[in-house]
Amino acid sequence: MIAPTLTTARLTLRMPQMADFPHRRDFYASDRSIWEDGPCDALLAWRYFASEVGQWPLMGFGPFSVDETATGAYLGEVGIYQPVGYPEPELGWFVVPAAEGRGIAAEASRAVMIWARKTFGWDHIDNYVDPGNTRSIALALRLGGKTINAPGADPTDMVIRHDLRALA
Amino acid sequence: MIQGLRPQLIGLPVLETERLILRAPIVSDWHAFRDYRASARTAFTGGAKEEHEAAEQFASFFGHWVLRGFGRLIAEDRATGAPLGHFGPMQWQDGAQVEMTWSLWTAAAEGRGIATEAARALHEWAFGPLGLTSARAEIHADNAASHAIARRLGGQISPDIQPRWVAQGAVYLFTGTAP
Repeated sequence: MIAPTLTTARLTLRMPQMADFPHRRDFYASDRSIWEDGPCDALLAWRYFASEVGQWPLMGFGPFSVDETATGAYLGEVGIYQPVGYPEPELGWFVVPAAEGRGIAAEASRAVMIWARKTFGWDHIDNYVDPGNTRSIALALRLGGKTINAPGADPTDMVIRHDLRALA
Repeated sequence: MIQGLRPQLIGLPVLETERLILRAPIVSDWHAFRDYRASARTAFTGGAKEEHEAAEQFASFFGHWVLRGFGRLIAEDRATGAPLGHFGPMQWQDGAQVEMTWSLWTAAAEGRGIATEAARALHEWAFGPLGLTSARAEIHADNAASHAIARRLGGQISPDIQPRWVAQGAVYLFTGTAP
């Protein structure tokens, strides 16, 4: 099982490939990764990346790499993650610095939520967000998510729930 | 796991030996791998890990297959179907020399030449159908059983090469010519 290709107005979401790794490595080398168990070296970044991609054959869902359709440029990764310890599948996102502030993660997330609803019939999907990660919280709320009192990946996580029932 | 879906790796090599079947990892290998990864058997390979770290490594085996087209094989006992350990090439960085890895997951699997049998099959596949022309293995100084396997596969210690992650280790080079 690998990712299907999803398209939106500006974006193509597809199965990750090795050429995407340098973007994830650079993210994990930077302070931008402080909310995602970073910063860390390239070796651990590879472990993270490969384990995320490995969700596809293990779980039937996982990360999509996000390309700008017009240019083919890699913009980030949006997908569904459920490593051991996550109470439910989680909606997660990452964009490269150049893609910030353009609504890329929101546009890709909507496509992933529609796909998840259609494929799995889920009623909802949650984000697990560190309370200090204000940008992610703002995005989750902008997407229509509601903060709920439920366990996340870490005891301190905020859990923001998206109702999928109106989709597809 | 999603009900009704059977996400698995497909179209992958299967190596058969007298007592073993070596195949790509499957979901049902998880518990055996988790128990191995939590055990003292990992003393030479990074130490015991908590469940979430073990799961991350397990998932990375699958991701490696997807991203690279090759990866760790799981040696399964022909007689019982039990997964006994992992044996396989890995390459974490583009252009880096491929690294051979092997581990038996339980003490019960030791002492019968299982690891050598699996490692020989791995070696033949890696330097045959897979098309490798060189590979390395990093082995902890005190891991005598693993040193013996590396030598049986024709590995030569390269004192000039620094190990990447086994700090107190030796680096063996393989060129595909097993004695």
